[in-house]
Amino acid sequence: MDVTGEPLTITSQRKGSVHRVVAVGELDLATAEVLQRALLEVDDGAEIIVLDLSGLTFIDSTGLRLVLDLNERYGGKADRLRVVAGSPAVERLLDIVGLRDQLPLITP
Amino acid sequence: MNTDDEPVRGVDPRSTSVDAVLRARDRSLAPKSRLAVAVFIVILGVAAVLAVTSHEIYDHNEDRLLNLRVRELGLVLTAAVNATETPVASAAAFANATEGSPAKFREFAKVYVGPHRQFSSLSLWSPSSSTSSPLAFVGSSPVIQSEPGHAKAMLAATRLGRLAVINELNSSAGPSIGYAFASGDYVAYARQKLLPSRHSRLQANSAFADLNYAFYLGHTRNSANLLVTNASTLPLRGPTASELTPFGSSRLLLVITPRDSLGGTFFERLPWLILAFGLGIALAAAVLTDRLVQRRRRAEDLARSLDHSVAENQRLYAEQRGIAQELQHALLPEALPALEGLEASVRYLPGTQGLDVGGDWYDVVSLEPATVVLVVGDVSGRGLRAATTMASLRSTAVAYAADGDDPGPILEKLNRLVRSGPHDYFATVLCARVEIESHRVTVASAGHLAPLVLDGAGARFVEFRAGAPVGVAESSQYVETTITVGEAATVIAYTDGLVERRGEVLDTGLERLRDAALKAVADPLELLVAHLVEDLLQDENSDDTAILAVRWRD
Repeated sequence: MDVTGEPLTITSQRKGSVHRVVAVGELDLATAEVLQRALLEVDDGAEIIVLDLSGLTFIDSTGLRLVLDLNERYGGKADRLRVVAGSPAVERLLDIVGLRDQLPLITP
Repeated sequence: MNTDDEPVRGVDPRSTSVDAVLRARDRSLAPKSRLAVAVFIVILGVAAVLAVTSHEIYDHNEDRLLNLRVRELGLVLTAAVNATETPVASAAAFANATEGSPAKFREFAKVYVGPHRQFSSLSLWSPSSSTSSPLAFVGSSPVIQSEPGHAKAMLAATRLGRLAVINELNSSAGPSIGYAFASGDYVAYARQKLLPSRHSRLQANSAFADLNYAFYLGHTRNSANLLVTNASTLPLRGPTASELTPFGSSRLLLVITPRDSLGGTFFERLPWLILAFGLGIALAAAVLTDRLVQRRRRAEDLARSLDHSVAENQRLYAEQRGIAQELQHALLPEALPALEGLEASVRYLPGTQGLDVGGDWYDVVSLEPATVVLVVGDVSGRGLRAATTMASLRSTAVAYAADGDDPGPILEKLNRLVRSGPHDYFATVLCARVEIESHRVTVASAGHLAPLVLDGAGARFVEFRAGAPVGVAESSQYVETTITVGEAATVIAYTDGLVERRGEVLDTGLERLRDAALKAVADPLELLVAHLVEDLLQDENSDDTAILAVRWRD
């Protein structure tokens, strides 16, 4: 069973009241755990959480699920989430899956 | 609404709790490891051997030292012997030189005789005279004259130039030694008194201070021959060394035994020290060994129960997978309802990524008149959970479809269904109503990929605007798009496992699908679907794939 592929690198930084999570690489079933762990550390005290996906070269439904989970928790009425799509892979997926209107997207 | 797939938090009698195993072992009277006992015995044995050796060496050394001492003392005695011989010999020589003058002899002898002096009496005898009385004497009367036989023997014992030593230890006048020396015609006879107790009064710092000794006249350790001793009981106890020193015509036997250790008390105690030390080390080593053995046993136990757990987990996992697959199989029957004017072909291929089955599904609902509703969906997540939530979505979709709802409303209701639950999953769904006669297809998508249409005009994906996957937004609008397809058209709906590949943009996969479909457009439907699977799916597919294809029979 070959699950090779680019790994996922997550960098997390807190600046003032903004917590920024940057994902670079491939976000799929194999690497989702990495992002999940990073998201667990998201400071609940931060006012705004920015999920920067512009560095993703691949994202599948597992990755999408993580993003939607985050949206469930911090988006919607809470309005504390911002998502940077940026990369072609992510943009395309969001289009296909009709999530453009659902996620609080911002330009990078 | 969602089935709980958490494991039952009860006691499983089959499970081996690692802690329980270890606790049980600690509680039981675990036998001391044989290795620890062996280590103890070996070290103690070594210590014993060392102690014995040390003891032997010590004894040997003591003997050696004792023998050295006795030899030294022998030399001292020789000097003492001379000190005894000289006055007597001088007296005899003097008498010889003064022709036996009694007065002169007495004058000469005065020096040597007295209570604090060497001899108790010194007398002059003439062997040629037949009388058994001395010619002169100084000091107490030489008793020997009252023992005529003795006197004669004494005179006979003298030989020219040699001191005769006469044993008078059993004399009625008290024990003494007689010394006789002949010179010319004269014999000087001295007597030395001994203490009746024969007990010595030698000073503490003399050469004999650390010894118990006994002097004997003659060469036997006979108490009758005892001259002097400082021991309270005879014969001397313990290791002894003796030295026989010539003493005139007799011998002086010195027997010594040490009072304390000659070589020092440390070496005397050393064997015990070694034993004690060895015992200590043996105990410590045994305890340490035992502890190490226990620790090792615990580690082995732990490893064994971990192995057991791993094996158990693997078994359970395989079992669960088996169940999931069976469920999946049961949920997605391969037999489709017979459709008038439409043929259908389906495929479900579970992902191979070692995890359980996913949540892809397809449904074909046949309605009157000549209408078919197709549903293809993909529940996020994996496992038994995904499969069972998929089942509830399916039944809901089928129910509303059968009830005559349009694709848009069906999806809206599905969304409401999912939102009414714990909001912990979402699903992409494609719903299409196919009007067989009119060749019209009305499609609505909740985040699902567009179906491919193959007809006279080529191969194209239906263009529509997808709404959000069900379960994501509180309320979602699902726009319906209607297309008209050509004669003998084929409509292929699928899930993303068919076109998604790592390291690619989605469009690449979509194009690949399009090309493969075009290539096989002339094939019978089943064959077409088979080709798609062959061309698009790699050997190792992490995601599930479902394919639902319908073709107008014309």
